[in-house]
Parts: sequence; structure tokens; C-alpha cells
Amino acid sequence: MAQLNNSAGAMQYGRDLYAAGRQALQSLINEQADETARNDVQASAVQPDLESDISVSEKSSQDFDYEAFGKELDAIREEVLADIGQRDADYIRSIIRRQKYCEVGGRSLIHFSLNPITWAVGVGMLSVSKILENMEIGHNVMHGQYDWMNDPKLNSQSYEWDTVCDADSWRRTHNYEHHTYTNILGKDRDYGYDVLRLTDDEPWRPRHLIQFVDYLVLSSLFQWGVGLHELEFEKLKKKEISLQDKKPFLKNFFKKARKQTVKDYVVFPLLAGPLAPKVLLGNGLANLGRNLWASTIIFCGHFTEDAETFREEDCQNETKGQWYYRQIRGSSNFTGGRWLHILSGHLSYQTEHHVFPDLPAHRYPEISEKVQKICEKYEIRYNTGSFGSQFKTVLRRIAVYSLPPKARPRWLQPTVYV
Amino acid sequence: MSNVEVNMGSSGANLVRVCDSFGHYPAPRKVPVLSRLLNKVGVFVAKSEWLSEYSEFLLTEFDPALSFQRNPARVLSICNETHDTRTFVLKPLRNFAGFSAGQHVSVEVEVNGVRRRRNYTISSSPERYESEGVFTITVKIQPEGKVSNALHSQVGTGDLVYLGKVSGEFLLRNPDRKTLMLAAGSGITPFMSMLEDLNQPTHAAATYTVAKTDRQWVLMYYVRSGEDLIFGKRLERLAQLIPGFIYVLMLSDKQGNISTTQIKKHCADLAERQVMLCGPGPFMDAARSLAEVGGVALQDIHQESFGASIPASNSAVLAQEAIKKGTITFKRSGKTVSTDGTKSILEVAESLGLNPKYGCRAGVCHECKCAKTEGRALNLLSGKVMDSDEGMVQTCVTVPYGAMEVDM
Repeated sequence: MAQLNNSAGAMQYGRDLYAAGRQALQSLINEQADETARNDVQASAVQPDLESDISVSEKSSQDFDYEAFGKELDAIREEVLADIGQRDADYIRSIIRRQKYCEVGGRSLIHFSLNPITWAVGVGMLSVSKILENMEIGHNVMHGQYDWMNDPKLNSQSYEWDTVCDADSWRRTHNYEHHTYTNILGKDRDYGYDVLRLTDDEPWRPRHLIQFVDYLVLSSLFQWGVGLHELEFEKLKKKEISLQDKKPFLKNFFKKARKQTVKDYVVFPLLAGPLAPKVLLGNGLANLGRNLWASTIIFCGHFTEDAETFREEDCQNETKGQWYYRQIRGSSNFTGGRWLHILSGHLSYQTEHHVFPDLPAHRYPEISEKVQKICEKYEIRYNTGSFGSQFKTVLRRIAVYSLPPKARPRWLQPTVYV
Repeated sequence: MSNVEVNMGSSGANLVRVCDSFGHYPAPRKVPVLSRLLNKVGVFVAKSEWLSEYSEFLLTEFDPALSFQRNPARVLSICNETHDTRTFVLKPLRNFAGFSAGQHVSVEVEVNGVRRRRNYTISSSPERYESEGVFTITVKIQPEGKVSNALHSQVGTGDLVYLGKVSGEFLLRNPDRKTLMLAAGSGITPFMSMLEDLNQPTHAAATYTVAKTDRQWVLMYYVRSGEDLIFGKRLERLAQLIPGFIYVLMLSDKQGNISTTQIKKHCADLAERQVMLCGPGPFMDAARSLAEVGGVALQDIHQESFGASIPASNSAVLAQEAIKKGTITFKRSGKTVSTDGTKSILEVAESLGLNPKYGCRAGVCHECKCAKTEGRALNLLSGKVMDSDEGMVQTCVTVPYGAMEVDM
């Protein structure tokens, strides 16, 4: 309270400066957009003529009041910030406790199980522990959601998580690139991970025919895919960058990958002596389970059929209200029980997460109600549905865009949302 | 018997063992097997991140006092000194290396989910810590003090607080010199530690022959009124016990603020003395200039700042002032610049040619986050002033609030 009073006079002053900061962001986006646009001149020549499309629709309407819309969302943020405290600290600590018990219990069961059932329970517990650690704890802590607690173990900049992906690399590619340029084709490298074609804005190539297989492989090895994301394989292939440029990244990647591999596939199996194979297999399955789950959740967040993509030229001179709009239209939620939300790291509230990436995630359910009301008021489609139905549209989208527009059968056309 | 004369400082005497005349070295002390084993286990656990993380977790689940990564201290008892001041008797449970009389220790408590730290002067003697394993801090409630209020309202006997670094240079370095101690309010705490230390028969000062009538150490203690008096009885008792220690209580509501007449009355030989000051800012400023005017050499004036360095205030004018007259010290590059609040810390750093990391430059991605090591800052996005103990700032949307230091 004291702090708030203290700075009351500074608030307005701060807001003015903040506006200046936003302007800086815009010019940054513009600059980079211009640059890429120039590079794309040749590319566009070979691009198929697009009849389309999903992106612009509502955005181009002139009478939409982005400023008022943005202010209403800002107000939600301020309201939550003023209320943050013990409840949030207790929540994340209780999740961490459960995750740790799950890991200790899971690893013990894998080691000391005498029958397949207890072993399988152990594998399940270890997998759940990894899911909780990666999604509800690691991902959210690294977004800075709990920095205010001053707990060195929950510090966004020093947190290291239980996956092959090096946390520093994640902070660059995810927190900055993905969250700033969400769903802007060519800028948000998380869109399809340069493996999947999920919009006709991307030129079709024959390899996309089997992208469903690519999807299954990517999902199974998801932590490795995420770990190697910053390598920018597609640019390496086109010789836009050299392996030499990526040396510092690769060094950190191998360091982290070795640490994870040694832990799960060497040290713990060896501790079991002659029973090493069952520990090796158990740890492998736990990692696989986490990989499949994480990729499913993340795909449901941006690749559902109704999640829009954006083109760089549409995002020039973007105001904060427009940025909010893009975050909402580019994301999709799914509904479910409390533990489904927790195990998804509250990415089931992907929309709220993208609008307020640094508010404690367990607040998203309450924030969601307010965001939905605002969306209703401004007539913006709020993308949500049951977990099953949303995932079905993801699979459908992967299938639809594996074919070029003209080759699609009648039953495999993109769904038109109005 | 040794035939080798070795000139050693008093502290080295116990550490160095001298070989005997026949060239035999004293046998090393045998370490019990169990503790050697435990030590090996400890080293192994400490080396493995996973093991140390999980053993810390399981131990603290069993009992938070078993933490080996943090530095817990048990609150053994609490007593009221005045209506707004309490003394906490703390027993450090591990990892505590001790302190010198006059030093302060950083104490951490959780306030509304936030771990907050403040420095509190230790108000008991090092000897007491050595013999009983406890020390005390004496805490006065600050009107807007989050930690002092939490210590008073939410910490009870048997609870844990967490200790940080012991630091401070405000020590009684030359007890053989005549000393004037000037304290005000809760600024008495370091003197309490020093005086209890002086009272120890083992203290270096015990070797001086100080006559009871000497005025070797004079303490003038200023409090607003009788009800604000901290340690009144203990000070009176110490004045009886320590030869050469004079205790003078000054009540501002009766005797007025500190003045040369008052000092001269109790210390006619002011110019020859070393002067030690501890109390609120205005008191120390006044006392310091009186000492300087009174002829005390500058190097003989020692002072400890006390209380919040920036006055807490509700005034928007002062807030504006703090922003317009901010300074940033970049710790790693050793540069200090003043700012007027129109440029973010990130921009200032870049204009200095530093190469800080950044991302969105709009407060979204937290990629630019950096440790704030000193002072306060204003987050423009939330409009919140971050306290001196709040560690991390988003440099792209933060400006200094007064003087601050970042780890850059």
C-alpha cells in the first residue's frame, strides 16, 4: 500500500513514459518488418496467388476502438497486480511441493517396484512431476510471474528446468520472439516450428504431404525439438547463417542435453545396478509422456483452426490495443477441470497467458471471465472449446494444410468461422 | 618443549603448531570415522544439483530448521522494550560465522508472499553468542516499514527468521582512547553491543587500568521522552559495572535537542576524543557538525546511518523529485550517471556503450531483467516503486527512484 501511495504522483508520469516505450517497440517492429519485406520480394514472386483469408477480417474494420479496448485490458492487469500476495506465493509453493513428492515417489517406485503395476505407477508419477515442473512451474517462473517473491529459486532469469532445452535459449526464443511476435508469419518461429504448414500463407511443398508423420515425430521428441529451436535449422539449410554463428548456442545446448541425459539415462539407471534396464525404460517413458503432453497442450494454444495468423505488413505501427487483439485472436483456450488446467501450466488459458504473460498463471481462470466480457463487448471471437474438440481441430488443421488449396477434397476444407 | 622461537600474533597462536626438538610433528587430530563419512556424503550432495535440491526439500519438509541452503535462526524469545520497540533473541541454527560488536545482520522474513530483508544492528555482545549461541536484534516499528511491522505482528517465539550477511564498519576500534558515544532513539543498539562487550573480563579494554572516576567512555543517549527509552535499566547497570563508563540520559522533551553546552557539560575534553554517532539522520547531521565545531578531528568521527536512507513520503512532489534526480551506478562497469527519469535504465546503459541484453523493450518478455543491488526504482508499467530489497528490475520499463545500483 505504502508503495502505491508513494508513487501516486509518479503514476501519470510513468504512463507517459510507458507510451514512449511502446512507440519504441513499434518502430522496432516496423524496422525489422521493412527489412524482411525487402528480403521477401523475390520470395513473393513464386508464392501462389492466395485467395484468402483468415487473418485480416475484423482487424481491418476502421471503427474498432483499439485504444479503449487496450485500456480495459490494462485495467484488469492493474487490478490483479494490486492484489498479488500471499495467496499466489502459497499456490506456487504448494505446486512445487507436490511436484517434488511426485518426483521422489516416482523415481523410488521405478527403482524399488517389484511388479509391473507399481513400476507403471512410478513412471506415471515421474511423468506428472516433469509435466508440472516444465509447465506450471518452469514455464511460468521463467516468464517472471513470481519474481516479485524475491525467492532466488523462483527467479525468472536464473531458473533452470528439467528438460533438454537450455533455459537461456528458451527465454530468448519463447519469452521474447514468440510472445512479442505471436502468430506473425515469418517472425514467430514457433508457428509450425518450420516443420508444419498450418496456413495457406506459407507456400506448399511436397514434403508437407507427410507432415502428419512429422507431427508425431516432433511430439514424441518435443523436448529435443524445443531444445534445438534456436539453431534455426531452416536458415542453416538455406545457408543464411553458418554453423559457426550458432556455436555459442550449440555449446550450451550440448551442455544442458548432456546433463539431462546423464541424469535420466546414466546415473539413475546405474544406481539400480542389475535392474538398470527397467529404470532406463521407465525414465524414457516418463520423458516420452511429458513430450507428448507438452506438445499437445502447446499445439492447442495456437494451432486450432480458429487461431488467426498475421502478416508482417498488417502489424506495422501496431498500437498496444492492436497487440492485445493479435494476442487474443492468435491464441486458443480449452476448458476442463482444475487439474487439467494445472497440468497444462494454465496454458489452457492461452489467451489470457498471451495478454498477461507475467501475471501468476493460476489467476487466469478469474482473469478469463473479465477478458471474455470485454471480447463480447468488442465483438471479438474468443476461441475456446473442450480439450477434445480443440485438439481435434488441431489435427484437422495439420491434415488440411498438408495439401495445397486446389488438391483438397470437399470434406477437407478449412473451416470458415464467422 | 620447543626450542624454536616463533613470533606470532595472538590470533595465530592456536592455529600454528610448532615441531618439537626431535623433528616430530604433532600427530594430526583424528577425525572420527562417522564425521569423515558424513563429510564425504555432504560434499557429494553439494556437488549434485539434483541431490542437494531434493535433500534440502525433504529436510525442510521434515523441519524448516534443517535447511542447509538458507540460514535459519530460531526466535527464542521476544520482549517489549518500549511501546514500539521489541528485542528478539535469535539462535542461529547453522552457517553463522559470528560478528563483532557494532555490526548489523540482514534478517529476512516473508511479508505477504514476498521475501524481504532488512539490516538490523546486533544489540548483544559477541561473547554472549559464543557462550550461549544467541544474539539479539532490537527493532523499532517504522511507520511504513514492511519488515519491522512484520517482525512485530507476525513473528512469534519459536518461529524462524533467515539471516543474511553480517556487515558493518561501525566498531569500537580504539577502546583505549577516550570516546564520546552519541546515540538517539533506536540508534542505541550498536552501543549496547559494544558496552556489553566492554563489560567482559576477556575484553582487551579489561587490561587498561581505568579508574572508576575516569570518563573514558561517555555515552549521551537522546530519547524523545521517558517512554521511548530503550535499555534504560541495562545501561544503568553497565554504568555501575564498567569502570570509566559514564551514562548520560537526555530527554529531548525536557532538555531539548543536542547542543554544544550539553556536550561540553559531560565532555569538557571533547576535542581530544573520538566521537561515535548513531541515530536518525537529522540527529546525526546536527551531532556531526557540533563535533566538528568542537574541534574533533574528522578521522575521529565515526557514524552509522540508521533507518531508511530515503524518507518515505506520500507526497507526489517528492516522488517526482526522486525520479528527476535519480542516479544509476552500474556495478560491474563501475560507472555512475545521473538521470532525469526520461530514459529507462536500459537506454541509459546503452548510451554508455554497455551491451545489456534486451528483448521486446516494452515490458512484456522480461528478457532485459537485471539484478538491482541497491536503492529503489520505479516500474513505469505498474507505477510501483520497488523497495531496496526487491531484487530484479525490467530495465526497459524502469527508471531510478533516487540513487540506485544495478549489476551491469
